[in-house]
Amino acid sequence: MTEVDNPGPLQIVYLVKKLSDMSYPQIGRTVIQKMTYLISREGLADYTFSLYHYGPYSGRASSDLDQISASGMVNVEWQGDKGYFISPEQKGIQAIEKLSPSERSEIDRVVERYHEFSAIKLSLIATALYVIDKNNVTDDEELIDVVTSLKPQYAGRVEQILREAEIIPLATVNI
Amino acid sequence: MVYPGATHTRFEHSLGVMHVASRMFDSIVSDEKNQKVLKDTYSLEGKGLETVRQTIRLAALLHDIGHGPFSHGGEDLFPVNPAGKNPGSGNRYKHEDYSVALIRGPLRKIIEGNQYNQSNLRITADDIADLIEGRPGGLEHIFFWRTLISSQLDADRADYLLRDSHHIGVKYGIFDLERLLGTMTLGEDPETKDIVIGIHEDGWHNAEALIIARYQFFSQVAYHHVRRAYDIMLKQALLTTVGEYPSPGSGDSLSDYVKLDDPRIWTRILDSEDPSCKALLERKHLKSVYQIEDMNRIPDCGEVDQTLQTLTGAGIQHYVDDRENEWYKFQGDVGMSDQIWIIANNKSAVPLSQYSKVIDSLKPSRQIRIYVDYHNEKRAKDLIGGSCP
Repeated sequence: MTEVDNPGPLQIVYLVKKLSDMSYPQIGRTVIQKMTYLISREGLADYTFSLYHYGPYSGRASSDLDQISASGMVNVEWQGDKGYFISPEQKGIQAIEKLSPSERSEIDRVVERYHEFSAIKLSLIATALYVIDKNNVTDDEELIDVVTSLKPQYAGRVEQILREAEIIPLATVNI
Repeated sequence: MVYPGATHTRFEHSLGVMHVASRMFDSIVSDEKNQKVLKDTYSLEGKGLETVRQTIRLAALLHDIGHGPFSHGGEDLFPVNPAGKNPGSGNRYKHEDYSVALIRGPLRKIIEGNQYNQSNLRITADDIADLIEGRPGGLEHIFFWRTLISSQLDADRADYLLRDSHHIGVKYGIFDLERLLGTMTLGEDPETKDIVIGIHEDGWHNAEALIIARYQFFSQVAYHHVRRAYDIMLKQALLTTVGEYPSPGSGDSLSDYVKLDDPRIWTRILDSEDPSCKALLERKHLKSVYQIEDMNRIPDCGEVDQTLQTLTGAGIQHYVDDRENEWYKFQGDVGMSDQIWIIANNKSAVPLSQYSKVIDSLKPSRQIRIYVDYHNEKRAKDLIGGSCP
């Protein structure tokens, strides 16, 4: 009935706070969408994602971000030709006290694994994981081809980034 | 009941979506700079573009074909999707699941057996379903066109806002479609460098009008308190006359679902002795006895929970209507404040809210209403008056 029923907004506030604590350079909407997808894969956030060329996307996660911005839990700003910059606000920092220790540690685990990747790389990583999840892809070349088709502007970099993220080789890595 | 002129059907809407999607595509592709981007980035030109155009047209035509009787009114009767992430939390099938099942199933022969398609385009049923669903299956290189099928700027809402306003007889939902089409173009998302479909900055006022039209239409028409009362009553009537819908999974189940059309269901409702059907037929609609606009203050006073407890304690049957849930039924997976990109001359994309102070000030709100049965209105209002300190 109330906000307690939907843990997504608080999980996103916590995500923003965690990324901010780790000095992530630009916490934009893309980063939040992709990190939320990665968290959602761990069974935490109850969002449904659909695949676009910019990667997995959830309208509800986007709305929840707007909700926490409107209620003063995070600050969302647009800067010139760089894009969005999102930062935690005091009200949000207080609100995330309601999250359980297990929720926090799951989010911590995901952020610690992926925080060194830029928005562009996260977009490629989340796309690859979505393709693996939905299409049961087991072949590295096939995965690289699908991701490259979606994001041809990164042709040539896809393989390297997926290796950096330890998504490939698929046969040996636990994703 | 509320809008007696609204007798139009989803069929003519689907034709409209196909038409608008075609025109959006043509407008973008007719620009030389866009042609260069499409060729350089996606190797799309000539015959390849024609195939993409027809695939988009078919996806637009068929995107809604999976709607059940009374469309959104019965979506809570979809069964839980066992492949959903959290089946226990009410992760039900959506009408899109039925659309793609119908396309991949009974419509496959028609699509793939079409002579012109066989000789020229070779579009498969899976191509169309994949584009609607966002499923990687070989057409990933045209996924950026999904913006025309499902986004803030898609052909679906461009058509239904104008079409519904016309038939309903309201002035909400109005915007300049011709100007919108004339200003659609390609740009680049500064965060990811992805190609995006947006509106040239010369047309940002019209993009603003589109968003305002959508908000007004949703709050004043789709979420009208009496219209929503009938949605809830229809759901009750469908539960008693149909029960949970068949799943989109396989042959027989899908055939059974297709048979659930409006005329057949009306007959069942007319023949039913159930009070929910009687109330619907006698137009004794549910009454809204409580509503709150701003969800942010709910946790402070527990007003909604207190009201529900009061009604439960008095033995009054009640129904909670959450505007946010309704939004996603109408809008698909498009966020309440998702932005339209405005494309500057240098092709850099900027969200509309950076141009428009009006859009920037639009905040998502979670309106909640509580309804009770027709005959309980006065008693409920007397009980819950001044329940919040």
